[in-house]
Amino acid sequence: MAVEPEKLEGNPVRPLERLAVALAVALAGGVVVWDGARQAGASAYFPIAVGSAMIALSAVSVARLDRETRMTEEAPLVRGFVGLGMLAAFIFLAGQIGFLTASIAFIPAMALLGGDRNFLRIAVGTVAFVIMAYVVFNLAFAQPFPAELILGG
Amino acid sequence: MVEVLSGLPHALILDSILAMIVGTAAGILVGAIPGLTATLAMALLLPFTYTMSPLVALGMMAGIYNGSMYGGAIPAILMRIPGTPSAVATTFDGYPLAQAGRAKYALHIALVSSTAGSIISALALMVIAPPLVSLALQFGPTEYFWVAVFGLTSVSLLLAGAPAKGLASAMIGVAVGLVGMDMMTGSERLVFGIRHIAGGIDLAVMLTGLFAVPPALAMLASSANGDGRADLTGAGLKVREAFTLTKTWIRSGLIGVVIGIMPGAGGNLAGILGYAEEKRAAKDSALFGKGDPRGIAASECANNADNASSLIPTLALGVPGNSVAALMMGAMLIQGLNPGPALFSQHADVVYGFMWQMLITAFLMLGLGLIGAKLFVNMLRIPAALLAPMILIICSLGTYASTNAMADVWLMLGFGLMGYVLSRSGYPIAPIVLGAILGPMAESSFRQALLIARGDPLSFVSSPISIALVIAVVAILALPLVRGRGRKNEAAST
Repeated sequence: MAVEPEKLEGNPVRPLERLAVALAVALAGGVVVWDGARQAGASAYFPIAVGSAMIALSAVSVARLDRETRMTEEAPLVRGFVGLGMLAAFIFLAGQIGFLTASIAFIPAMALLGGDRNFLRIAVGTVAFVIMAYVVFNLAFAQPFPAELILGG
Repeated sequence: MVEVLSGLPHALILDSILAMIVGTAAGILVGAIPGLTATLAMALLLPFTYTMSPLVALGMMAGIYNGSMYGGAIPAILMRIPGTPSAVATTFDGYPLAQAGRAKYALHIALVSSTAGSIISALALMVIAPPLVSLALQFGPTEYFWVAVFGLTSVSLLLAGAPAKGLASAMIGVAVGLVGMDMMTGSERLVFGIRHIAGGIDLAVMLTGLFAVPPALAMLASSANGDGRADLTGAGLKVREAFTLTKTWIRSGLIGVVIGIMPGAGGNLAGILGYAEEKRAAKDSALFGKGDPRGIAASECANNADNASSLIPTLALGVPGNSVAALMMGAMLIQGLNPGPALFSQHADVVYGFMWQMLITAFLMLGLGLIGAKLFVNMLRIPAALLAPMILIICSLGTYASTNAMADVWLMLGFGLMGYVLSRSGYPIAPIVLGAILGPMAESSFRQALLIARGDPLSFVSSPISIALVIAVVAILALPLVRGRGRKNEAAST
């Protein structure tokens, strides 16, 4: 009605991926049931009911799975996972060398992944963002962040 | 009425006014950039609200909500790309007007109509929410249990293409809400020895991951590279011309208010229905789609009229009807405010002040929209590929700032991954959040009701309100079956 995630145009989602996601939801439901079964009395009611519902609803999704490739507005599979991998690397680096220092590598890398090849624009955008973030978060809000390799902190 | 008026001075304190101005400007900017929505902007802001006072946080969010709805009209009119999903119907007549060299006129119509819609909606919130609270005061644990179940099922079924996926999303959310210590027995559930989540999962962390990470990733594949040219052409709208649209505003405003109150609907449905009704009511409907100002006015007024009215069930019952309302509720919970009848008696200054903020930001939107038109148009030139990593960095900074724990930044990434994977396969995201909010409410109400009734399950259908809610839940659950039967009959007849 309001939102239809599976569109006629966009990036493809193959049946195998939809099957894998439905099975992952069922597996998560199984874990919830297992944990619920270890609880005593009324603490167990909701986890068991919720986990069982997740398994049953996944079974319905699997039963209704067709062989057609659907379309989504979300990022393409490979680019999305590469983006998430880069975000994970950024978070790891941020803990070691600070958020703003890690941003100097992260912004250009992600912009290139997004297909931007205007290097001057990327460089200017990165420097402007890091300075702005430093002024806002470190100076104006004085938020305590992990120590920065550059820009003090 | 006196209670409503008592909130005005609280909304007019300096910090609140500044927050509303910043929020409204940010909302218009966000809405003007295709791919960025009010939900994303609020998810980004949420972790930073921990250190704000309630009316500063809510004022900023009110501004973002109203501003972004108008902002979405800017690329819809200038480039035929809806900045937000709610602006789809604005493209039908907005773009032809811009192509005819009257872009400024079209933008002014969108602006005044958005303002009219926001005013109608804020007034509806002020008028409808307080009586609803009187009704909610008669609710006990059983009624609250059914209200939570109704909220979850309706939103899940209306937001998903496939009912099973919508309900599965809601169940995932309830499971997330179960993580941590059971408040009644003290036992740990779904913690698996991870001490960091023993106290439960931080709502802001979950909301930021689910609502900000997947759209940022989608922007990496966006065609908006910032090379597009969009200019303000022609003369603007005259005051006298604006008032010829009054009938359109009243019609579309009422449609928007009704759609807003319905759980699971939303601004995109309101905009399209408002446009369709205006076209149906017009004697010269052939002009629609060719640059008729009534088309822009109907769409923009209806999608803004959905805003404040969608908060009526959130404030009065504690049941958010859509993702933005869930984020608003998240902001309140962060401040230690529990939406529902108690909020109106214990924090009347905040709740009524917030209603005024929804009204005041409508007028701020008009002023800022007129003053900053050129700046907002220039936002269309920012390439999406450069904006995406900046959003992800702000998500990470915000999450870290809210709890000072790197573990929560990793948790945000986990929710981002979950949102991305589920959304790709057609699982809606909003029910996950509603599940996490309403799940614990449903469970505690369920267990309290059982304790009060000494385990008698018939207590769940003992009051007229409970029976009415059960009928509503059954009707919502039957909706997909009715729809499926209708489609089959349609297919058989063709």
